[in-house]
Amino acid sequence: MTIQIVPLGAGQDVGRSCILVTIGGKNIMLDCGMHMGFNDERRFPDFSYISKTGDFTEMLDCVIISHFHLDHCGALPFFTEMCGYDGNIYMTHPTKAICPILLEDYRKITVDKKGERNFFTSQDIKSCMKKVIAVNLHQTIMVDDDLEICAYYAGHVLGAAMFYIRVGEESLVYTGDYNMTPDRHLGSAWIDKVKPDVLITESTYATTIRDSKRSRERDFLKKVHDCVAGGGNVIIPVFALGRAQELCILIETYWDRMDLRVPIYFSAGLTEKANHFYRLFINWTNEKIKSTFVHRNMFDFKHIRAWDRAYIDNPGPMVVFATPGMLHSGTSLELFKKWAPDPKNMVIMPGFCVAGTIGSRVLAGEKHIKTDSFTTIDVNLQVKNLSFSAHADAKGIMQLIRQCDAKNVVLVHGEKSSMGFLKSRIMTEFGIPCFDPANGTTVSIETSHVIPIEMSASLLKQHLIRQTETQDPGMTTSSSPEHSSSDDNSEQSDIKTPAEIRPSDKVLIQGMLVMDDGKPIRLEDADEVLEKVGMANHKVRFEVRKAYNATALRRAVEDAESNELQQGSTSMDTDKDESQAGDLYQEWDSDRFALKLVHIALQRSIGKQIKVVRELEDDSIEIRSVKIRAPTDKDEFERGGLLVGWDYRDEDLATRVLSIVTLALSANR
Amino acid sequence: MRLTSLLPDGEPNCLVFKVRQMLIMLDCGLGQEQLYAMPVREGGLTEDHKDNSHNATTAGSTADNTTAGSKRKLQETDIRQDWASFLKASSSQFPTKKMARGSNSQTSHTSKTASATTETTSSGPTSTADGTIQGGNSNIPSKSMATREYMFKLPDFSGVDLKAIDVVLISNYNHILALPYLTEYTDFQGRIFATEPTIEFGRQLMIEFVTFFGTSVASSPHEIIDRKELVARAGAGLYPAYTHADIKACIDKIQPVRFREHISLFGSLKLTAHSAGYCLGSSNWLIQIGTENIAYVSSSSTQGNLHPDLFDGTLLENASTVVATDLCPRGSFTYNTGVNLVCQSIASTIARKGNVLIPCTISGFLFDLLEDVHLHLNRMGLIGQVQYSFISPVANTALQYSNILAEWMAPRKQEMVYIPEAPLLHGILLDKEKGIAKHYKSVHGAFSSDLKLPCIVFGGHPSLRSGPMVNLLHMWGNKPTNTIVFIEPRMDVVAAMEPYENLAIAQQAVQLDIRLSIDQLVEVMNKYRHPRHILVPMRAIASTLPDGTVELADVKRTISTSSTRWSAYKVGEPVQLGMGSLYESVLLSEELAKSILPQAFGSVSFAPIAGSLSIYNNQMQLKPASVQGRQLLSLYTQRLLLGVMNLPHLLSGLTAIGVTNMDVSESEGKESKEDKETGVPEIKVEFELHGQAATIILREKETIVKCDDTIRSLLREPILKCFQSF
Ligand SMILES: [Zn+2]
Repeated sequence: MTIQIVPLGAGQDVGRSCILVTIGGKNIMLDCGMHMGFNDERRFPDFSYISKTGDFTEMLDCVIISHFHLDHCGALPFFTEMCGYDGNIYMTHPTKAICPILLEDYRKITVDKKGERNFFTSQDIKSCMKKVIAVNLHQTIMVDDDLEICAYYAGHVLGAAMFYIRVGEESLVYTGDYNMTPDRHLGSAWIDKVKPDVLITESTYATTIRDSKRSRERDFLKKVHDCVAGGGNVIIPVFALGRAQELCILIETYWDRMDLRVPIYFSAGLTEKANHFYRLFINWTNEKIKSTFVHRNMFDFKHIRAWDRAYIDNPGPMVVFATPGMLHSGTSLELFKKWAPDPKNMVIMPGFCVAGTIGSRVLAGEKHIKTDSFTTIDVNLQVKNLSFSAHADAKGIMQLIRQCDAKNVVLVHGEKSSMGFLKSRIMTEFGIPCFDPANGTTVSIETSHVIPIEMSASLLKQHLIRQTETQDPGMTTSSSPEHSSSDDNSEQSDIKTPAEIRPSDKVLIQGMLVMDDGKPIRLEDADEVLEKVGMANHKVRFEVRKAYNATALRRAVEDAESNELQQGSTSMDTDKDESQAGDLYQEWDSDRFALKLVHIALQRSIGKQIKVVRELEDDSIEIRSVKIRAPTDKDEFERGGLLVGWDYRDEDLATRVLSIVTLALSANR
Repeated sequence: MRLTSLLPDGEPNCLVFKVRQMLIMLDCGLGQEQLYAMPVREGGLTEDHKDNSHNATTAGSTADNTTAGSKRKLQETDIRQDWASFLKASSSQFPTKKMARGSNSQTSHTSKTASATTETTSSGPTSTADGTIQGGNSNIPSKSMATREYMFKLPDFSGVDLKAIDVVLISNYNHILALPYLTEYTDFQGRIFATEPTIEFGRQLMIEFVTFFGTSVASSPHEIIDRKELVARAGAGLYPAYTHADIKACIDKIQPVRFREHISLFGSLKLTAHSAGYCLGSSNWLIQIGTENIAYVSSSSTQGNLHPDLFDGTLLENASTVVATDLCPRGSFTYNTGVNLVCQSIASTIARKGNVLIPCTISGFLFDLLEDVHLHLNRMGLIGQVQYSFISPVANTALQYSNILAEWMAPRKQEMVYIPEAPLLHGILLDKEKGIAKHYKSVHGAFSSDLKLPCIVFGGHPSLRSGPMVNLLHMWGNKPTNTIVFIEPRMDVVAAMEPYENLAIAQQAVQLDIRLSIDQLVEVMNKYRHPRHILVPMRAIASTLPDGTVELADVKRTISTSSTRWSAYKVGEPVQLGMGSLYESVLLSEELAKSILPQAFGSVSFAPIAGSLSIYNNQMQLKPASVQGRQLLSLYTQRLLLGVMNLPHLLSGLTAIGVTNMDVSESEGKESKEDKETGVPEIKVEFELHGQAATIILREKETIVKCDDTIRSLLREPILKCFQSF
């Protein structure tokens, strides 16, 4: 079986996440993002790749959105309302709640301010969101009879999720954006050991190993404090939700502690609403906030007030959180234009900006930025780059691969150059294949699949008992089932359960697979099966004569005996053996002696794995149906040798026994 | 499979379910009946004693105080002394309570008007006025009487090997109160699963329990309770309440799950919680062991218009066995039939400036009721005058916590957070600026100073044996304009009011019950594929027919059919549930699957297989064995020959390997002396090969080959060719 992965966006690139996956015959779109650095058709993924005729609903089994950032969900209204996709869309509750707000925000800037047409409308956003099915973490959703999805906590932003996708025995994990270290308001990403065939992970910070969170925070606060102390204004471009809340909590506590009076504003008017979302979705924040919310809600800020455009001419100093985060439009751009020329001021850039945005040019250190043919911004203010953005760094990515125990890794949502480094590191450290496909390039991954079968519980029990009986005590698997004996005699189905098998144990199983069309494949006891279907099991018994040289054997034994006498020890350790040893020279019975030798040899070689029974009366040996005996009737006696008989069903055992017997009876040991 | 209930019918759930070697405890509730036999204690006596800030606002309403003295403290002690004699009286046992209970449910059902409710106390054959006052109580040891310590009877753990319990599943907060005894006072070491809201509301209920009924003396229950004794005498012994530390330790042991989250354990046990529609996070459990599916249906509701997530019946789709518990008794009010009565009763009390007491826990359908009451009062124009008070040590937590659980609510409520708006109305009522609703830890302190009359007070404990309701009944109980409204379905109103029977307060019993009735259960079972076997509590059956089968107490008098068997379970009497499935689910690795050689026999194919079974990712997998394993396996390999021996076939086969002079003789199977095996007809083929004599004896079902070891391998081929071999 094959899993196919094609990035339509975010292949060797950041922004416009959209990955097409085919698994077990199901087509799934992972994220449906837009690229904020473009104003033309490159803004949206190339959906014509999925279908030239636009029958997206038939082509796709579902769309999964990982979180509310526009580079992950920005193209969704376009895809559903303008391209006509009408199938299932899944996202978490907070994503469903917040996503339309950001979409509407963006739409306003694009359409209302820039006057673009051919863009989705408010109504489009609303009808798009109506089609969304909200999911809970860890809840298994059956998209159809075969396709199952399950969300895991990803940190990053409120409601961000990683998705586990399974069809039959093939599985895949898509991370979206995630972070592996908890921050001030979110916990860290976590996933079960789901052992996916493929892990598709973001790699925004593929080469960075970020320094400690604490020192970055101290650094950030000091810069802000220094700037306002010197009379400068600080602009912090942010998205309304996510990183903004973390920085607000950080600054709020700092202002409180240092007793600062410098005003802090938050633009976009979203503050109240955004914080209300955080209050209602407090379950999605970290443990600390969750456990204290009843007494003090972290999202009720004292120092942070709503921004009003009129404040732009206030003398300052002030700190302004302004949206959007990449300086590509809106309040943040307006403030930046105004404050950029003054070196007293400061802009604190997020760790990453999409190529093509003003933010990315500021980060690149450009001093004169032409925003359009009429305007050039002189960038004199201090530019500080703080990678607060909650993405996993290389260490975090490695950690997640280990946590879920992936068999293959596909890197997306990262710069090509840095992905290469991570890729080779993953391959050497885990010894698993790793891919970084470009947009429109297909990666095919072969999966070895397993077949679900039903195994007879009595067959398992039979083998468990066998293993317990024959193995060394140290290797035995079952704990003593204390509660089985006393209170459960009445129960017929008193079968050992796998609860008694430890994960490290291995139980050797033999049986018969029964394959009947339309019924589950079953593993049964072979005899029972054949009996059930009424098929005669014919018994074939072999009995062969095993000749040996009695004289040579006797001589060899005498030599050995004398050796043993000198050493003062005996290899035959039972009393009976010793008492008989005295008689040996008077009444030499070569057959009996041969049997004794054979018995010792068998005990030594296979006695630990299988029960070797010795009949005291005639010294004959039995191992299951294999029987080794001395001649009994005249005919046999005349021919000489030992007789070895067995049922053909034990042919393999008999072959092994015969070779041991041969060795034991050969005189020149 | 075997099921044993450890608590009587009508009490919270606590069952032990054994399937194969797995021991699963279904819920761990604490019997509530016993509370009625206990003395009354004022709420918050232990902690809030020091808080004397009771101020004058209460004076006017404490009508039963003969003198409205100015020294509150003195007065309180006086009251307490009065109360002490009262306590003695109330600590008596109620021998005829069961009967009273039965008549009560009928009474409350027929009493649709406020005036009719006064019958509730006087009705029923119980007359406790004279005889029982001196009687004392045989059930409670005298020592505990002296210290006025509450002692509790636990579920009957005596027959259960607690150490062997693998898993405990909790369905909702009503069935969790005995869990700290299990985890902190016994050698239990299994795992516990519950949904997040169940854990939180369960924790809150435990805290209420400890606050109301906890030990008032300094000694720790750990010093009093002997573990061994607890296990051995759990059926009969009495134990003090656990502590706050126990609650924390117990809660920390519970693993939170979400609906439809798959949990795999021990390689063959799978557990999944499904929404039960009863309260936030209430769940029914699908237990899959091997290929057997068992559904544990606990408190469930198919009532559509409430706030919890809807009943998810998909767990019944593949369930062969269903254990149904906590059904609604016949003749109860449904939410829809009772809610108007509650609203009217509250409204008319408020209209006459009376106060309303609603003994309840702050959870469950109360959140819906609040909305309905508020809307009703609003319609009646009474909203401006009324104040809601929630009094409980966990009131604030319960109210706030419930409103962040949108994901656990019905779709209608879920939508609210997208606005964004608090999904439950009390989020708005509690808004500090509006001040319509307030919450308090106890009646002491701010409650009295804030108090605006009239007032609707919600709080515990429904048994009226401890908690704020005791104080409030004391304050307001003598005024007939006030009303106490009973809404909790699990309580016994007559028994609860027994200590207060002389109080003039109006009573209204409208016990709303949203749980499945037996009729609804039958309906639900019919809707999904019929399970083979459904177990119900005793009270859900009307009669047992002579042949041992049961007739259900539903309208249609459902009985077992050939496809579906109904039976009943009773406390302490294990029910055997048949064999269960005899198969385990195993994953066969592709590598091993490729190595097998199937042979077709008609439509069925067979393939012998040998491999190594291990548990990987909580799933059993069969893979190729290691080299060492294969050596070991070869010792156990069983070869099979199918078919009948055919003489011409054999002879031509022997000829092919170079046998020439074959002597074939036939014997008729005469009675033999020594060897009974020769008694059957047989054909003997004797020949020589490479100078070695050999004999082949053919019988109907077996073939015996006697030869020298040196020619064995040569002879094998012509013989095997006669059969189909594996
Ligand atoms: Zn993101």
